[in-house]
This record gives sequence, structure tokens and C-alpha cells, in this order.
Amino acid sequence: MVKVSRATSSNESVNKKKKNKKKINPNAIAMKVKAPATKPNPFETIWSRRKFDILGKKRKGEERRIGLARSLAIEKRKKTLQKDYERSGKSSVFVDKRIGEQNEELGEFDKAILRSQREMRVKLSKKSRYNLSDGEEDEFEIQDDNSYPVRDDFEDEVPFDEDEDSAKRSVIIKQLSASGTPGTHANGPEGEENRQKTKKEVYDEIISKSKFFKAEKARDKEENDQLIKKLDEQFTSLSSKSNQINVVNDVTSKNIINVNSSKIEPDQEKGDDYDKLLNVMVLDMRARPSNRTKTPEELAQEEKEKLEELEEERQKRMNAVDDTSDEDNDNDDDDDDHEKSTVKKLTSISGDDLGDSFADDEPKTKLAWIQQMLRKENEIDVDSEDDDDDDDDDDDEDEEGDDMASEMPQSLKDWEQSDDDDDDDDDDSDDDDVDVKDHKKGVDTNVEKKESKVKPSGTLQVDLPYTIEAPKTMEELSSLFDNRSDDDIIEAIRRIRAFNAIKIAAENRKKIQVFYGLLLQYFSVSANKKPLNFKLLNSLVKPLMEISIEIPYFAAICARQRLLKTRSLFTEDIKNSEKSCWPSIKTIFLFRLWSMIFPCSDFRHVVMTPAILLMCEYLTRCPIKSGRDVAIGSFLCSMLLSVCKQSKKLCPEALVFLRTLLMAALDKKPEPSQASEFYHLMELKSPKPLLSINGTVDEIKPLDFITLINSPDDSLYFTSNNFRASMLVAVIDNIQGYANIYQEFKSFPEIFLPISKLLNEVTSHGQHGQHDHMPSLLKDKIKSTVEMIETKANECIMSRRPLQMRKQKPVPIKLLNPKFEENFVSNRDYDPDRQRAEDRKLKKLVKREAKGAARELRKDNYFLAEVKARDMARVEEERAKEYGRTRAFLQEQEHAFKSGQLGKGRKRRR
Amino acid sequence: MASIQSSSKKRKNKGLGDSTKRKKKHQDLSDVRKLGQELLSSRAHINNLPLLLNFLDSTSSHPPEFILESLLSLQSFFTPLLPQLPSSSAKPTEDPESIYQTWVRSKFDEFVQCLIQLSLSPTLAEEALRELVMDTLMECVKIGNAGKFHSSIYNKFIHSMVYSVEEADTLLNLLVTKYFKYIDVRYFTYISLEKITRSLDVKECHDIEPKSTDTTNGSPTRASGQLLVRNIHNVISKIPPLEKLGENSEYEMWNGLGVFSKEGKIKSKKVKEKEGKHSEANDVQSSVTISKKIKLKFSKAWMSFLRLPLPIDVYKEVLVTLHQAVIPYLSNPILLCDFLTRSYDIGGVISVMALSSLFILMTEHGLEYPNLYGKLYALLEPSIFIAKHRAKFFQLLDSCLKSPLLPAYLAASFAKKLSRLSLTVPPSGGLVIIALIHNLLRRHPSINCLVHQEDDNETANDESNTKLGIDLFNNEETDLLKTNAMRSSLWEIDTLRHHYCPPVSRFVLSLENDLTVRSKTTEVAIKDFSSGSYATIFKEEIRRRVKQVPLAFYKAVPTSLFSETDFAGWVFHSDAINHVGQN
Repeated sequence: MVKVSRATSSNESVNKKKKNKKKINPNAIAMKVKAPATKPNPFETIWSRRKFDILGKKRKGEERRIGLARSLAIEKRKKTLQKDYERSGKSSVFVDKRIGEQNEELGEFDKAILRSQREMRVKLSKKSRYNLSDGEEDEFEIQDDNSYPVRDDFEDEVPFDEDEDSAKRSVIIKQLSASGTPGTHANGPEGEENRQKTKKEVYDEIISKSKFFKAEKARDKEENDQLIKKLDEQFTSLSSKSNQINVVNDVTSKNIINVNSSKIEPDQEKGDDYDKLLNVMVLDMRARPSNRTKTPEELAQEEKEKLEELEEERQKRMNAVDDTSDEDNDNDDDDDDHEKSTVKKLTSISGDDLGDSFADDEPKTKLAWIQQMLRKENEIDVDSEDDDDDDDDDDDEDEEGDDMASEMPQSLKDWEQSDDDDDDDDDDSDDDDVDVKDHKKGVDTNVEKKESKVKPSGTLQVDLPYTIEAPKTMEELSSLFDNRSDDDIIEAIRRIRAFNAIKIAAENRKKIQVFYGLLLQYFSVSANKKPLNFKLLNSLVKPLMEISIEIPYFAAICARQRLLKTRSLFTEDIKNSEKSCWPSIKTIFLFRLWSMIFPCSDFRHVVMTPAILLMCEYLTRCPIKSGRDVAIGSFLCSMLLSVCKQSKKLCPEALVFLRTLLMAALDKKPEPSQASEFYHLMELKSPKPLLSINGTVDEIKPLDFITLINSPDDSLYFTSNNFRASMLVAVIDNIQGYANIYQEFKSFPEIFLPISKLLNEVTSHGQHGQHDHMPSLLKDKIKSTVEMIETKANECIMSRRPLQMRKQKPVPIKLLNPKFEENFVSNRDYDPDRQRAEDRKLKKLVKREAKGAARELRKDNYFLAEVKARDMARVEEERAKEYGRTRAFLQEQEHAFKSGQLGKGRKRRR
Repeated sequence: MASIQSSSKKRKNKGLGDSTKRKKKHQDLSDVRKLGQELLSSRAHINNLPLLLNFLDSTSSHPPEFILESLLSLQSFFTPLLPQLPSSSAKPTEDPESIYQTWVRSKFDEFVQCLIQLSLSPTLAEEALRELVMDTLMECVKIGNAGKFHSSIYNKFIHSMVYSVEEADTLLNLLVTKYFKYIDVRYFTYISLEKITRSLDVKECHDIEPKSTDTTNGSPTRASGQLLVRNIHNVISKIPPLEKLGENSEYEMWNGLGVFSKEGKIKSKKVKEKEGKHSEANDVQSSVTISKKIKLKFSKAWMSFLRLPLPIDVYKEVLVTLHQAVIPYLSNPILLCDFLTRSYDIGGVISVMALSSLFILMTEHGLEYPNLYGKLYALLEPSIFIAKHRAKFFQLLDSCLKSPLLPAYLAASFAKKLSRLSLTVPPSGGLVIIALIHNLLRRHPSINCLVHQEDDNETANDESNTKLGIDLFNNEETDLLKTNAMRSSLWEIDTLRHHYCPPVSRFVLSLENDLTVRSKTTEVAIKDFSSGSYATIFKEEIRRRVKQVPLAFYKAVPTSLFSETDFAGWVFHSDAINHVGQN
């Protein structure tokens, strides 16, 4: 299409002109142009047009002349396809080597220019200087003239008349500049346009420009104003803030404020707030950084240092007052208490309560200690306050001096006792480097402990050292704890924890872990001891819980290991039918401890879930043989109740066990029909009438668990009616508790109605006997429980509905609102997925291209067929012509023969 | 020559007799050996025979070397002689030769008797000797009946073994390892066992006479009643079952092959063996007949055994092994149905155990047992969830309820009963119950009303509303038709959501899916849950990785282990305990 033969290009020019002036009759123009070399195809002049205009609809390619396009395509094919076709039967090709003939881009004119340039060069060369001109130049010029408009009138919109002149001029320019590119060529008309600006236009422009500048100026000014305003506002807010600062300063440093205020007052008269403030600010004190709040690590460190210091002093005192009486020791203890109280204060400030348990604050007795206390408080003050007090500083220095002074004689004295000396040294060095000496110190403290054990001279119990290394083995622990009072043990634990706080050093974590394991061991061992020290166990709970908070992961691992061991022991025991497999007091205490350390309400907890499972397993699998078993079992039930209380978990085993106990209260065997499902479970449990009351009951009181569990199996108490009645009360309490937490369950009636039935039987059983031994208190209790269960069951039945587990959410009705798009643009893909939109676009393109290619191929085929038909027709025509000629000749001969002229002659010739 | 021999025999005999009398105590091994050699060398020393037999008498204790020596010589004496000996019942004719033969025969019988007693005698110290004795005995059995299998000797042997009071374990083990691989030994074992049990059965029925009279066997003390049954069970359960007929369907025979092929006479019992050896062509057919015969005898033996009143432990053992060790090899397993239904009716654990065999009969052998579901329903009790064989039972229960053709009331009753049980069983049982109910709900869309009921009558008055909450299910009803389960709802399942055991409460959620859409759901494999126990659940929980450890939060850390407010009805007096401790 780009290359057009000369013939068609003339047509095209005609058409272009028509496009420019649609209203003008094309014929008229054609007449004007007057280039009727070929007759214009009338179809080519037809424009495709729409019948109806549709608002807002843009269609591509509507302004086309289909006829023209077709003829152009045919022309193109003639140049390409037909050439190929003609060449297809030939073995050699004619190559056109004329300049620019191969280059499709070049127009006829450019080609001419190139050729002329070459001509000129050739002409200018020395060789051809003497060549005679053969008039080609003229021809060239003429050719140029003709060709130029042919080529160029597509683009410009210049009226036809002017066109030629300007074109000519531009051609001349082009030739002079000798640049053959079409780009420069195109610039020509634009330059002409610039020049053609009218005066009016120029004035308009000037006016508009001045207006624009004015507007801009105004806007700038406005912006400036705004900025200033903003700054002002900011400043006022700032100044108000600074006022606040001043207020703060008021409190902290009075002097300065006074100065400020005195200065401010005269300034106020001036009336300029800003200046005033500026002055104030210049004179203002800069805020000094306050001491930052201490991190927990530092607090722990402080705690440790304090302990060390105390230990030092204790050592000192011990050495100094070797011969003094116990009173001093007592005093020391008192002092310790005071020390601790200060420590406590410190810690309470920090919020990191390490939990020391010193309730008894004895009045201060000695002046020195009061002084020290004061000093300490001062220190704290120093810490907390911002201001620098020179006096305080001095005081501190004094104190330090004192300390050093006091240390001096001590160290001298220490020469006398080598062990203590070591200790002190270690302590000193500890201040510098805790890590290195830790191990050695542990040994040292051991030595010291042994020493303290060796000489329990005046008092039974030797003072605890202040710094205690965490014990690493059970022997160490027991040597530390043995022969000490419960309070001392707790205090020792506290000191160990403070001295080895995890926050001080990373490796302390390991020590504390080991210590925790040992402490747990100690706990369980002392739970198993025969004279049970319940108070100690109680007081061990707190430190154990606190350490578990510090090392929860390790605590959980410990608990799980113990659980695992307990269970394997239990499975061993249950195989052995003689041995009681009910949990020992140790196990029960540990269960309780864990249920306090860890949350019981979690859906699944690494410790509590196995623990509950194990407790339930005990309840299910252990046979009830004696009153002791009953006691332990029912206690387990109440422990489960407390565990399940918060999350209201269903625990069938406990309920089954309680039912079994109630059955044990009936001395007859239950008839199989009555509770058939229970009959078989009972087989395992050997339901002896362990709880049936067959004598008078003296008193009912809450059972003391610790007494019970420590009594032997065959204790008489277990067979007494007192025990039975009390146990029944406990069981009924338990049932009430379970009924309370399970009252929201949908199958509450199914769970509890059999129990209430059983309870009724228990009372009626008592009545039916010869002597009604059942105490009225128990009866009332049973009655109230039964009533409670029944009312709750009724409520439940009233409120519950058949299950609707498959309730589906109502499916929303499909909305058929049109998806309205504001500013909708047709042809735009509104797909939110960009990738998909792109893909679709590409696919569309491919499809279009494929269609186009198919169409082109089809048209090629039509064209080729046409060409072939034409060839055939030509050949046919030629053949027919030849045939006619030959026929004519033959006819002539025949005629001659028939007329007899030639035949004779011919025969004659023969 | 004969006279000379006889005279010399007499002389020697006398001399020897004197010597034995004279120095009974000082007899040494060489004498015994000499006796044997003389016996073997000629007939003249035939009188050595009773002397040698004397050594084998189990009542008198001889050192084992003596027994061994005499045994060997006697065996080598009788072995060549046996085919010529007349049967023991044959009457001696006038012919001295025949008198002699009869005498030898009687001695042989005595020999066998001795062997049997010896093999069972508890005094026999050395196991190797016992083995040898048994080998000899079996050798006799092999050729005893004129070259054929001597079934009567074998019968006697089995009989005495079964009736022995002593532990016959070693003997039985020998028998099992050495001889039960022979098809004919097995065959005759079945026959003799059947005979024994049948006679026992008759006796039990009459229940008049002590057993010792009806056997010629002279064993001093008899096993009776339960011990006897136990012995029989020992033997019968140890016999290896018939192998599948394969490519090499050649059965090993204890009795010699050559003997049978030469023999033209066909005995009814030996038909199969004879055919087996008769021609190579119909070998396969013969093995088929062998297996058929053996199956027949096997069935007879077992049936008669099962008819005996079994002690409870044997009963359980039989039930456990029945479906694997017996049913596949019976000629007609349907015969067992009487036994099984009887035991299924007993209830409890025995029913559970009988169920697996019964299930095989029903599914594979076309037994119709209409009362199955009623019985199955009756088995659903809390104890089943801690019973030993629960895994198998739950699987069978699941497969019994597999058919979608079951009526809705039946499925509903099972579902409701199971859910009621879930309130009392341990967590492992809870898991199984949920799985079973899940499968039931999936198979029977008609009982979906148990878990989902549209309350369409919102406007209904309060009275009907309260009725909705009443559980109409009758837990004690045994008739499946009358349980009213269809009008109930599975509230218990809803309650299980609050179970303390996380797997259970988690698993309940699986029932929330719409199981009526079968394409979207799959059945739960009961196998995965049926063998659960506390141990499995506990292990599962302990094995979980410790990812994070939340801790309980207290405003104030509690200082005492137990607080009395948490434990109603209990007090914790530390003073009291101190007091007690001091006391």
C-alpha cells in the first residue's frame, strides 16, 4: 500500500482532495486536475457510511472507501503475488539495480533525488567534467515538478492553489539543503503556519499571558499568607507547651522559676508574647535527663549485690563477735529483717515482686541500723530524683568511705580464718566477674554449709548464709535443708533464687532449672514422709509456683516426666492385685500442685490434659476395697471437680465413681434390672457395702483428708459409722458441685436423674431397716440435693429442644442488581484481574490476526485464480484465433478445390 | 537239630533264670545286653523276652540304661517278627508253632502296653529316653497291623494320653513336632479323639458309672471331668489344620508307601491311602478325597468335643480360636451354629467372643439368625467398653450395622443407646461411640432426625414445647421396636462437646457435618478407634510436642495447697497431722 504505482497514485490524489472537501463534487475537481490517463473506477469513490447515528458510539473504520481499498489490495497483489506467480515458472530472475528501486520506503521523489545526487556527483567528478550534457537535467527537473504533488498532497491541508507554489519553494529548499529525509521535509508547512499568525492573535496572546501572570502572583501571595498563619498557630501551641514545661520546672527548681517570673513581669508590658517567650526561653534551664527506670535485670542484680553485701556483713559480725552471746545473733536477724524490708521496698517499686515472706517487722533497736536505713533511703532518693544534691553525693562518698573503712579491718581479721577469707574474696571477685567463679563458689558455699552444720554450737540452727549457690544434687539440697525450720527453708529458697536470678546471668537459668527439679523432688519426698509436714508443703507451694513462672517450659517437662512415671508405676501396680493401686499422697499432692501451677480450663494443656486423664484412669480402674480407697477416690473426685469447675468439662469417670459410692451405701446388691448398665461396671469395683450406715452416728464433721490418707487400710475409723456418714456427706457435696457445673448440659437429666434416684434409695434404705440410723442432717442434705437435681432437670427438660446440629446458614438470595459502573467506557475491560484482562486482550488479537491472515490468503487465492483464468482465456483466445486462421486457410483451399481450379493443377502437378 | 536247640535253650534259660534271681541287684548292663543278643540270635532264647519286658515295667524303677538296652533289643526282635504274628484275638490252634506265635503276640501286646505306660510315666527322667520310647511305639503302630497302620494301638496311646493325670505336654509336643505332619497320624488322632469324647458324652449323659471300668487300660489314676476335657482340648487344638490343596498335594504318610502299593486288599478306612498310592494318574483326585475324609473326621472330632461341658477358660479359648482355627476346615460349618447360638445367648463376654464366629457363619455360610440385633443391642453395656475383646466387638458391631437396608428404628435405637452409654464410659469408649454413630448417621439418612429436627411449629404452645424436651427413649427396653428412639434426640452427643478429653470433644465436631450428603463424607474406620484405651490416649497426649506452656494466673499467688472452699466436705488440718505424728 505504501508503494503505489504512478497510475493509481494519481487516483489517490484525487480522492484525497475529495476527502478534504467533501461537499465539492468530485467530478469537478477531477476536471480541474485533468489527469484522465485512466478512467476512475466509480466504485472507488463510494464511501461507506452509517445509516443511523448512534450517540456515543465510535466505530473503527467507518470512514472507509471499500471499493478503493479493494482496488488498492488488488494492485498490491499484482505487484507481489502476481510477480511471484509469473516468476514461478522461470529459472532466472531479473534484478532491478536502479538506485532506490529496492528500497520500499523511498518514494518516487526521493528516488529521484538520490538519482540526481548521484548524477551530480558523477558530473562533478573530474572524469566526467568533459562529458557533454545530454539534456537529462531538464528532464529531471520536469519530472520533479510532476512527481512532487503526486507524492505529497496526502498530508498537508493547504488549499490546492497555494500548494503548488509552496511545494515548489520547499522543493527548492530541499534541494539546496540536499537532505533527502522526509522528516525535514514535513517541517516546511509548519513554519509557514507560524508566520501566518494574525495581529489579533498576537494581541490575544499577550493579554492572556498578562492575565495568567497576575493570577499567579495573587495565588502566591495567598499561599504565603496561609503559611504564615500556620506557623503562627504552631507557635502558639508550642508556646503553650513551653508554658507547661515551665510549670513542671516550677515544681522541680523553684529558683529558676523565680528568676523567670521576675523577668517575665516587666516583659509583659511590652505586649509581645513572642519576645517575652523568647527571653524566657533563652534563660530557661535545659531539661536534664532523668535516671532511667531500671530494667528487671538490673533490679535482680541489685538484689543479688545486696545479698552479697549482707552476707559480707554477717560474716564480719560473725567473726567479730565470736564470743558474744546469742542476743547479737538475734539482733542480726532483726537487722536482716530490716534489710529485707528495704529490699522489699525497692522491689515493690519495681513491680517485680520476688515475694519474700517476712511479715514480722520488729521495731528498730539500734541506732546504727536506723542510720543505715536512712542512708539507703537517701540512695533511693538519689536514684529517683533528678536534681543533683551535692550534699547527697558527699554523703554517698562518705558511705563508700565508711564501707571501705569497715572492710579494711574485716579483711585483716579474716586472716585468722581461712575459709571465710576465701569466701569473702570470692564475693569480692564476684562483683567483677560472676561467671568465672560460680562453680568454685558453689563448692565454697558447700564447705561453708558443712562448717555450719559441723558447729551447731549455741543455737540448734545455724544462720543461713546470705548467698547460697543453687544446689546441684539432692544431697546438697538435703544438707542445706536438713535440721532447719520451715521458715528457714523458705528463706533459703528465696535467697537461692535471688542469688541465682535468671535475669542476672544466662547460665543461671540452668542452675534454677536444676534447683527446680530438686525442689520438686524435695516436695514429693516430704509429701511421702511419715509424719507429714503439711505446713512445709504448703509453704513450698509459693516458691515452686514462682519458679515455674520463670521457667514454664522446664516445669512442664518435669511435670510430664513425672506423670509418665506415675502412670507406668500405676500400670505395674494394677497388675498386682494385692497391692493397692490408688495414688499415694505424693501423687495427689503433685496433681494438686500442677493444677495450681497450670491453668485447668485450657482446652488442651501439655500438663493438665494428661494429668486429668490419669486421675480419671485411677477412678475407673482401681478397685474399691477399703474405706481408705473410698476416701482417696472421693477426694480425687473433688479434685477433678475443682479442676473442671472453670471450664465446665464433663468428667464421666467421676460421676460413675460417685454413683458407685452411693451404691456402696446400700447394703443390698442392686437388682440387675434396676441399673443394668451399672451392674457390670460394679463387678470390677467389688461393691461391698462400705458406706452403709448400720449403727448410730455420733457426729458428722468434715473429713480431714490428711489424717485419712495417713491412716492404715485396716484402721478402725474406716469402718466406723462416723466415717461413713461423713463420707456420704462429702460425696453428696461433690454431687452437688457437679450438678451445679453441669446444669447447662443438654443431657443433664440423663446424667443426674439416676443419681437422684439412687439418693432416694439410700434414704429409704435407711428407713426400711429396723433402726433408722441415718442422721437427720444427712437426710436433709440428701433431700435438698435430690430436690435441686430434680428442679434443674425439669428446667433442662423444659428448655431443651431437639438437636439442630445441621443448621445451615440461610443462603442469601441471589441479587440481580445491574453492576453499574460510573464513567463507563465501552471496550474497556473491567475485569479486576489484570492478568486475565491482558490474556483476553492477547487472545482477541491473535484471533483477529488469524482471521485477517485467513482472509488475506483467501483473497490471494481468488486473485491467483483470476490471473490464471485470464491467462487461460488469453491462451484460449490465441488458440481460437489460430484455429480460425487455419480454418480460413483450409476453407479457402477447399473452396478452390471444389471450384476445380486448383485440384486439376494439383493433380497435374502430381 | 531242632531238639538240640530246644534242649540247649531250656538249659540256658534255666541257668539265666537262676542268675537273675540270684543277683537281681548286681545285674549290670552287660547282662542285659547279653540277654538281648541271645534273644535276637535264636529262638532258643525266647524266654529272655519276659525278662526284658520286666525292665520296661514302669512301676518298677530301673535305671534308664537298662530300659534303653532292653527297649532296643525288644524292638529289633519284634520288628521283623510282626508281619507274621496273628492278630491278638485269633485263637491259638493245636499247632505248636501257632501257640508260640500267639504267645509272642501276647508278649507284643504287653510290650506295647509297657511302652504306653512308660511314655506317660512321670518317673521317666530323661526326655531323650521318652522320645525314644515314643519312636518305638510309633514304629509299632506303623507296622503293627500286618504292615498297615495299627489304629487300635494308636487309639490306646491317645486314650491313655488324654486320660493321664500328669502333664503330658512334652509328649504332646513330641507328637506335634514329629508325627502330626503325617496325614494318617492326624487322621487317626481325630478318630480316636472322637471315640473318646463320644464315650465320654454317653457317660456324662448316663452319669452313673465311674469311668475306670469301661477301659481296659490299666492306668492307676484317671483324669476326670474338667481335666479330661482340658487334655482333649490340648490335643485337638494342637493338631495342625489341613493345608490348602496346592501343587504338591502329596501328603506325607507315616505308614510306608511300599507296603500299601503291594497290598491288594482294600479296607474301608484305608481307601484314600490306597488310592493315593494306587496310581499316579488319579493322584490329585485321591488327595481331594483324602482332604475330604480328613475334614469329615476333623468335623466329627470337633463337634463331639464341643458337645462336652467345657470349663469356662477352655470355653473362652475355644471361642477365641474358633473362627480362625476351626471354621475354615470344617466340612459343614453350619453345624457349629447350635454351639455358637447357645454361647451367644449366655451373654456378657462369652457372647462377645461368640459373635465373631457367628458373624462368619452368617456372612459366609448363609446362616440366618433373626435375633442377632436384639442380642447385639443387649450387649451394649458400659462393661463392654473396658472388656478385653472390645476392639473386635466394635468392628463387628460396625459391620453388622453396615447394611443400609436396616430399618430406621433399629439404627436409631443403636445410635441412641450408644450415645446414652457415652455418658458413662471412659474417653476411649467415647471415641468409638462417636465413630459408630457417625457411621450410622451416614448410612441411614432416615435417622438424621436424631441430630437435626426443624422446629417448624414456632407458634405452638408451651405444652408441646416442653414435650419436645422430654427424652422418650426408654433405656431399659430390650425390644428394639419399643425403645422409642426415633422420637428422641442425641442430646448426649451435644454434652460430649464438653468432655474433658480433647480428642473426644474434638471428634464430636465431625458429627456436625451434613452426613446426609454422602458424596461429601466418608465413613470413619472403626479400626482406628476400637482398640483405644487410657494408655493410647495418654500416650498420644504425652507425645505431643511441648510448644508453649501457659501458666495459671493469680492475682495473689496462693500459699496453701488445698483451700477448703474448693473441697467441700474436707478439711486440711496440718496441726492434726502433727499431732498424730507425735502420737
